[in-house]
Amino acid sequence: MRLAEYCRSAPFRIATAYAALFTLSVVAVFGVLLWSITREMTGQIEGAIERDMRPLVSAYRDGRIGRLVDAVQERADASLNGEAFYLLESRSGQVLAGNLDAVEPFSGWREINLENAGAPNRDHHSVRRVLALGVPLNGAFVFVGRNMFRITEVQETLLRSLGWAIVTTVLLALVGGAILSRGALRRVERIARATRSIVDGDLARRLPARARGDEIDLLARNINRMLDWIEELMEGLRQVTNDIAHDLRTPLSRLRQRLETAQRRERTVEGLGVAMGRAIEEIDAILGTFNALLRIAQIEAGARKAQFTRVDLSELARTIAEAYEVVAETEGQTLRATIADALVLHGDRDLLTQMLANLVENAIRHTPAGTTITLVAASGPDGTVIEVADDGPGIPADERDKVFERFYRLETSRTTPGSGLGLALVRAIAELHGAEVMLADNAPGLRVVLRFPSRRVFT
Amino acid sequence: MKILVIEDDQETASYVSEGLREEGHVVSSCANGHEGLVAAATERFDVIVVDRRLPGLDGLGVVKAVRGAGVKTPIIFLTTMAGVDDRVEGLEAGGDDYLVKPFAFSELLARINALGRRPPLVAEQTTLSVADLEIDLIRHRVTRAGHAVALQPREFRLLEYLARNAGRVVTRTMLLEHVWDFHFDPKTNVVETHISRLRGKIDKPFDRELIHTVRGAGYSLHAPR
Repeated sequence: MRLAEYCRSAPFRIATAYAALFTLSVVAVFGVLLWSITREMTGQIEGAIERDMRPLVSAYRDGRIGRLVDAVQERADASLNGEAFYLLESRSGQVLAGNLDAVEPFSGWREINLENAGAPNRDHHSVRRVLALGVPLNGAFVFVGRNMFRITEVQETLLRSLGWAIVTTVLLALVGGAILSRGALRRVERIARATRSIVDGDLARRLPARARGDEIDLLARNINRMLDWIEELMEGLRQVTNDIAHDLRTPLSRLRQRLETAQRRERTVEGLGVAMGRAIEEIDAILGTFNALLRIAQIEAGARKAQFTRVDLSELARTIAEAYEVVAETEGQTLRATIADALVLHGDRDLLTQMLANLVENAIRHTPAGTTITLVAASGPDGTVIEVADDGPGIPADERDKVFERFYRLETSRTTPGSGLGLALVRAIAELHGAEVMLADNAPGLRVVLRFPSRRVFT
Repeated sequence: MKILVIEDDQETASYVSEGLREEGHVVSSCANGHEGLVAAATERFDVIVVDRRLPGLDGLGVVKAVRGAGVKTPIIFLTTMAGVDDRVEGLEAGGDDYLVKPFAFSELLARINALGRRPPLVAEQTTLSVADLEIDLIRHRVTRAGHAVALQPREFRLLEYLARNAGRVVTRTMLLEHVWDFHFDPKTNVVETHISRLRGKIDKPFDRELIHTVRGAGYSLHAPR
């Protein structure tokens, strides 16, 4: 992992943010500590100064400046280690006693910096911070101060610790982040490699995902599911393209042969006219296939839902039954319809009509004379059910799913004219309406069952 | 009849215009929607044939504008799209009929004839008669040469549609659309079978046929010539 790459990674950014946050809280904690310690220590020093000052003031009240001078000088002489400072000045600014040079008189508390003050043995600072209390007396000024080096020492120690704490926090956060991100980055890198090879055409490739993993695994699993779906769609598209190419090439080449034969053989205008008529019929059939394909595509795209209205299914089914009873009869078959009243669907009337007609026509066209076909439309517990059944030859169980595919035709029905798109259209229309379509054994014969979920039904 | 053809595809336009002229119609052609609209609004035509897809103003726009201008001329849409939505849209825009390309010329001709020569609707008209065939539209009763003929409701509708277009060719598709409301191409002989049923009741018991098959086009109900 290169440094630049690490710096751009999400874990690094998270680690940096954490480091900043920790630093901030460490600074805050140290700040509070510093403030309270400083305050506490300052309080103690102030107490000591006040205790020192009180006897001096009372010594002066006794009336004599001489006693005060002695008292100040005594204390100043006793302070050898540069901790305490005393000063007594006359009104004219002359130093009467103490261990300091003259200062501008003041009243009350003041923090002052004294240069070259105090004893050299404790001189670890050329400038001393001194907390001082100044009291102007009648005609004089007395000053008691205490060195603040202990406070400064504590403050410096605290600040040094703070520095180390910050450095440690930042280092820990960055190193920890690096270690954590190495794992995550490696997984992301694996996912990126996998997606690259999928983009390059390896559609079967899937992303690594642990069964019970974290968010990255969840993401990978979702992407894998999406890839499955895309692969399925691509496969479907490839299949359809192949089917179209094959199933349209066959009639087109047949048409070409016929036209060529006619051109070679027919010597009369009538003969050519007949040949052309046949050619037009074949072209119409090919165009019909095209239209059916377009329609299926359009329906599968779901574009037609806008056209949905309330459809009287009972009336629709009766129209179909009535239209095809006569057709079945002329084929030597019987069509029996049992249609419940007041069946209502939300759907596309034209498509539902075509779907039912397709099913009934399939039954008529693929069964021999003597077959009985039944059309049942009823209201079941889960919604409306339509069944088209016959007692003809039926469809072998292993082929029942395939007949819904475009251009799929049973071996036995290859000779009957048809595009092989009828059931594909039925399924597309059923799915558009949220209906389930399935083929079952009618023992003997075929039973097509359409179930419309009841949520789509309103009365 | 005087017919306006609004079609941008040169090939289709001449296929339609020349065919109609051969049938004795007077044809004007426009290659785009704006020209077509101007022609439709300024001249009187018996039928207008308009393509759905036109450069500039499209077919739907032309028809809406023509209807907006108060022109009541029957209009047929032509389209390359096979969607049923398109049909509904076309009819809602004010079209009277709809034909999907490619179509047989006989289909277009039959539809133009059915639209253009539609007799003025007489509100009180309660019976239709063709030769000795009488259709009572109120009581749904049919007699031929004075004999009552019993028809199923759908057979009655079939006969009624043929009678309303008596003397004209009615195609299989027109019958499917108007009698059954089927807007797809059935794979079985639905129309043929029902016509044959109807013939069995209307024509067979009598010596003269009224329902005639027009080869390659459709059917026609008229007195024998």
